[in-house]
Amino acid sequence: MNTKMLGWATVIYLVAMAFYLIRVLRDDEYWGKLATGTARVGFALHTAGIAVRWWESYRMGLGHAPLANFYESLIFFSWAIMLLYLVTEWRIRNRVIGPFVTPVAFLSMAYASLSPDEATRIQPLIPALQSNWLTSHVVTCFMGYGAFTIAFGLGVLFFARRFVSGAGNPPNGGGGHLPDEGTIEELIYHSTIMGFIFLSLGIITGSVWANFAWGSYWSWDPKETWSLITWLIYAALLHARLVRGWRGKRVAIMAIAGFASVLFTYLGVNYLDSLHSYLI
Amino acid sequence: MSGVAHLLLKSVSEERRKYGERGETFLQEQKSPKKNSKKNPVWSFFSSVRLTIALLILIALAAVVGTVVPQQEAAGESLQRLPPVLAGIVRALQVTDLYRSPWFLLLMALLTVNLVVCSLNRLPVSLRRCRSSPEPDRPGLYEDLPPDRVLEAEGSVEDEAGRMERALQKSLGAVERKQADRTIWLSAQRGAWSHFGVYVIHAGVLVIILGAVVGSLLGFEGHVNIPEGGSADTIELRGGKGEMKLGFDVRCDDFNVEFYDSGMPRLYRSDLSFLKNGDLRARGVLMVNHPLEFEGIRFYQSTYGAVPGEVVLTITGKGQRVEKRARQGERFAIDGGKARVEILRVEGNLMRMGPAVKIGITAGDKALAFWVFKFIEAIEQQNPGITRQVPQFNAGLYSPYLFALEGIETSFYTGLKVSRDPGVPIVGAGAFLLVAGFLLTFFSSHRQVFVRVDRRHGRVRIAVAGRCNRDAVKLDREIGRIIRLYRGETA
Repeated sequence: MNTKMLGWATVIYLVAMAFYLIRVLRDDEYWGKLATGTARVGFALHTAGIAVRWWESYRMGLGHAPLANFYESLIFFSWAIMLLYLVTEWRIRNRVIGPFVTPVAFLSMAYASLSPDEATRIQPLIPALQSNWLTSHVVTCFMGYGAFTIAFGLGVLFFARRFVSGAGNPPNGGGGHLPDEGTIEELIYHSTIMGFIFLSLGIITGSVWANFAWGSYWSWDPKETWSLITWLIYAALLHARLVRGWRGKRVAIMAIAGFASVLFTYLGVNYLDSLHSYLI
Repeated sequence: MSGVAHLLLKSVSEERRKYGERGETFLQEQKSPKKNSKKNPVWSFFSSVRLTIALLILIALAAVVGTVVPQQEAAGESLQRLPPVLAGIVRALQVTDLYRSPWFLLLMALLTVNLVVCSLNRLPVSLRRCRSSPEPDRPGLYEDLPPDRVLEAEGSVEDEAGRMERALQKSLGAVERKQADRTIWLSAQRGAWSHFGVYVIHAGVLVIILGAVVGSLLGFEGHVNIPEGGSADTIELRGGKGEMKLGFDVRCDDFNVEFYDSGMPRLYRSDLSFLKNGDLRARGVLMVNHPLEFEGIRFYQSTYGAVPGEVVLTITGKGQRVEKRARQGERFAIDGGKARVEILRVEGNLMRMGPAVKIGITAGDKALAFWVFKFIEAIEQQNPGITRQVPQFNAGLYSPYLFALEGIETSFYTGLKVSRDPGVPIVGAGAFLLVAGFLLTFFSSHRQVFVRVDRRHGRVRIAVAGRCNRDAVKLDREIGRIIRLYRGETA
């Protein structure tokens, strides 16, 4: 039941992504409204799918949040991205990041749907995961990843805009319907702050948990280390912007580089010998 | 069309132009050459944020290397595969224990000094900003105000100022008043503390580093395997630092592992007893995620494994047949107490010939040792005469007794991680500071509202201006509220 709902949400995200693209190409807000509507429907179904999965796990007598394996984490990653994206879209009243963020959410869902049948089934928790810290740790980490994804989408938008209209802010015309560079960069900064706070909370909750489960709040496990690397990159970005006055291109580059580190923290680390290996 | 969306977005960027650049200067590096030249070069080197950024990136890069190169115990094998020259370089740089290597610690130390110096360098500026008197009568403050920020009213300057004062007070708290001739200035502010959020964050990072140092100096980390029914008083310290006495005994009364139907593990559980000088002091159930603590030392369920347990032997001779159970290292008597038998070694599969036990027998001044195989008949069939050729394989060496191995029971051992880290509460306090600092820095702002009430062209004129270090949108909303409050009172 829940996997079917999530499957439909995946398809709907693909449609929303197409609408967002058409909006940009046609420069017609009609498609934009359609895209937002579609994305919201997909997100509602996505949320319901996660809720049903949670409820089903209780009915099976397992009773845990659907955040316990790689499949479930991909679903939640996509959910966090869409939540943060839709809130951002609503707050800035602009759909321009859509074409750059929805693909990540869609790909994460699609990648999840490729998992073997066994992985999509609700599984009981292994001893290491039987902890109250599971939910808070995973939620904070993935909200952080989601916010960094938005920043990444904005970083790509920054360069896409330059590609379309050249550098700087031409007073009239030339990428007319795109926000100016300053605004994009400001939004990158805000998304990065949000991601940074969530990532910090994710690392802290993870450390508290590790102190109970592994007997040390920090053991330089590859996943821990990569989360620190990601944290350091974004810390460098924030300092460069706030104190050194970095603006524009350099901030956009760092947002993209930071996202590469996020992806490696999430996916790449599983190929290293990690205590977090039960996620794959 | 997209008109509305664009308009709104435009307003965001305009706001940024209006407040953003000015708003964020509060953090910009102080570029005052006069001041810098007085300080010594070491101080100015460490007070550079360029250094901070360089260090953050360097530490990140070093950490990347550490996740790619096998660390500590895992490193030995891969080092042997490298050409000796390369292995020598790797060893010299201590890349295989990177996070404890002097150069990595040096980077961390540099960052710490940098953090302290930067904070000390900037603190006076923030203090001034926090304490600065609002000066609502500063020239230029009320120029270029948007039309909706300048109100007009009938009545007296004194009355309107009084109303405005109440509106300000309701919205922002304490109001300061300044009066001259025919003009009254009011000012109120909130969130002056937000200037210190950055210092709280940095203090959090420093406290975390302090906690880590305390932990590595005063704490320890080790491991111990205890067989079921057995006990231990010594642990093996991590990183080949030898052994350590606990000062008490830990006994594993029972170990259990349970599985789900799918074969996934469901539960690891050790029942532990803590004894001091043989007295039982405490008991507890140890599970993953549920550590136990005794005398400040914490125990964690880490691994488990199977080891050979009791050996079951049958001994026949002198018309008797007895069954004996014993573990490796244990002794028992036979032959009416004339001989003592010791289990010297227990092997699950000796030389691919199955389970075997090495037995030592001492009788008077005679001592001998031999192996007892479980599958001795099959071995003899394949190698006729072996027990005669190799006396060590002859289970009847202590005649007339003949030993036979019925089986070796397996028993579990529990693998415990043992540690003490007095730095944990310090690190926890640091994490708390870090989060509090984030809240102060990113969710609060220093907002000041200034009002000038004077008379112009026979009417009372009220001008409202505002200033903030960040979050101009919040300030705008606040000013709107103050104006509404004021109007509500006049209406």
